[in-house]
Amino acid sequence: MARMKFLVDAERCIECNACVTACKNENEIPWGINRRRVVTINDGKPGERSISVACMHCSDAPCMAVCPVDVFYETDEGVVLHSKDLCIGCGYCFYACPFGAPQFPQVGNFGSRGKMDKCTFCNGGPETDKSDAEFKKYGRNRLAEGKLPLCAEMCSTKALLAGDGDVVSDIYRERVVSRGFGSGAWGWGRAYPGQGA
Amino acid sequence: MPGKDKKNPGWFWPQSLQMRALIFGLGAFLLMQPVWHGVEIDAGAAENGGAATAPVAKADASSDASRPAGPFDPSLRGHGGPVHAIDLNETKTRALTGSFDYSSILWDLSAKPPKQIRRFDKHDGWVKAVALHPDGRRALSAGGGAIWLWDTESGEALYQFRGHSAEISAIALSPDGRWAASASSDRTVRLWNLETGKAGPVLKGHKGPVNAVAFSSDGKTLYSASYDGTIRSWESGSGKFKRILYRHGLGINTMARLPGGKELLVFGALDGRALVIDGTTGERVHQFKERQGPYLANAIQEKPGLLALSGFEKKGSGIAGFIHVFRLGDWAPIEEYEDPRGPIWAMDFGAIGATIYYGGKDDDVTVWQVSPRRAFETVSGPIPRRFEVKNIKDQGELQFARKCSLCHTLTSNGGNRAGPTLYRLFGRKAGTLPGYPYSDTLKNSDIVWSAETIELLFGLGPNHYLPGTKMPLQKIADPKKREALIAYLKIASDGESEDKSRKDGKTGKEISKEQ
Repeated sequence: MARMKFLVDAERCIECNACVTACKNENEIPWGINRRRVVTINDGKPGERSISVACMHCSDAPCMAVCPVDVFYETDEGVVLHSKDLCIGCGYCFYACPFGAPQFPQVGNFGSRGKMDKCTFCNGGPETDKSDAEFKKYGRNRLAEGKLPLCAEMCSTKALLAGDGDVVSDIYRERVVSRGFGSGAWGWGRAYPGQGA
Repeated sequence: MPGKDKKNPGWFWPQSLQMRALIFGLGAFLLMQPVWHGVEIDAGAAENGGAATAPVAKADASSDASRPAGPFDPSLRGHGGPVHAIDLNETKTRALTGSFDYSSILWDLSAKPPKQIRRFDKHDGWVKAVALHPDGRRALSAGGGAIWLWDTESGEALYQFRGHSAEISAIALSPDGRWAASASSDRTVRLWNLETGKAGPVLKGHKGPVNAVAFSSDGKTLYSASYDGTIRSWESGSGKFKRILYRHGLGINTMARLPGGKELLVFGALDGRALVIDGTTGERVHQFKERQGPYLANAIQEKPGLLALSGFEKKGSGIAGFIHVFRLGDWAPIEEYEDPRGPIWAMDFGAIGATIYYGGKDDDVTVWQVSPRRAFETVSGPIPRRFEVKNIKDQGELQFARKCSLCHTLTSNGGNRAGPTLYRLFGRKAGTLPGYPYSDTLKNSDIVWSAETIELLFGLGPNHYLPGTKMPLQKIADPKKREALIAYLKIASDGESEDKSRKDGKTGKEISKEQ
């Protein structure tokens, strides 16, 4: 079975934010939360790069390691999902994710952070696939529909790739052969250690 | 010790004769103390080109042989949940710690072993920020969305500051001690007058949760660092936004102003980068070694001039915490420590920077002896922790361990956990366990705990079944898992197993630790 991965080619992102909009619209993300963001690092300095950031669905995900109430699980395809029913809003994953994926609503119940929300690789959550309950809590389950995440599909420069990890890393290798390594597949080594792109 | 040169004591040896005399006197005093206090700071690693030449001290979770060789255990034991905030006073005789157990504890560190002075348990959420006031009498702790100002002598709350709509992540005190600033997940910073108990300006503008806040050395400027990847400066008197001082891109977890004449800020971010920047211009001053995991906390010791940064990195299929100690000024690495048990959420320096008190996912505060480095460090609690166990066949017992045991025991000893003990739960009227600080909702509830009411609690969710409860918003959606949990609770909370253990000669504390 394919191991799903995101690949962020920092040489190609033009900061158009189409991925952010596509994600928000497709999953009907509430006001105040963006599951995907375009982040500029080294802003205004040599080495400036724009990157599209969301959950990378890491191998041995740190969010899973720090969660005290066991809300995370990994699907057979390597997608890291979570149960909003079980989340207590402690925020441990929020401090632990190197990609800043976990998002919390601006107003938490009784001084907590509320329920964590994050990118699902357009793969829903623990509820029945493609059900209303799943859509309301987690957004669209495009994988169950035989599709891939819409953010990558909408990326005009194909800076953001999503799909079978072997396929996306093959595409990236072809780019490296023709143009050189450049700034690399941002975050790949951190998300999937020992699995060269 | 690598590179230790007795002829050239290096950075730690000041030019001033008065300072030398003071250090000599302090050293003589420390030599008369028990082994644990016989410490010195070793600059050898820095002189030899940094921590790359120095072995990394590792905690050993395997046996009691790893406990410090000193005559007493310096760990702070008493919380009933992971510790997320630590602040020591200037003389290092008091510590205030905040925990997942909804409480903060004031400790007497001059006692051997350290002992609890007071436990503040009125918070309605986990305590992630604490601060000891420099006047030695007052203390602040933030639980959930409220800050409490305590009189540490009487234990009474002087003021309760409310205004944030979500959890508070950090507190900072103004240099004159009159104001406190709080950073919150609601994306604002608020100022509070500690003398009058009145609210000050509200600082709005961040586009993500605010994780850290600090006053400038003159108290006129406030710095805030956020998950939105920016550090912003504000006029502390009016709350007026000044500028975005630094754009890091990825979220910033921890930030502090450094002591000394220059207005410098240090921060650590999610992406494993930590920098020192100029608080006036926003220019980069120094970038520390990039880590493969996030930075989580910082600690500063003005004399002799040390900075510690903590976080964690992936190790194999798990994660390991780290603390890295640097010299202020030239940022040379001094010592590095790795704790294979997990992230290091909070820390502060002990006496003369020779120890670091830190909190992770355990209920205890561990003490790392920075220098001279010890081969093994104290460890606490079993691994896997009670809420991390996986190999339990009984589905109900597994549900309890993974979902409930973080906050509840099943024994007569509540273990200072966030929630009341479930000992003899069935038939108990809600909100009636003596000594537990219930919310008004529970106090005024008519519910009697039974299989039916527990089924409703987790089927509907605590916030729907008992609006206003302090219990987190956790549901168990699968009816089979709910059924298994209830079946397990019926047996495990009946007290019979505890009675049997008591007959076997175990104490209440031992029994509660087993759970």
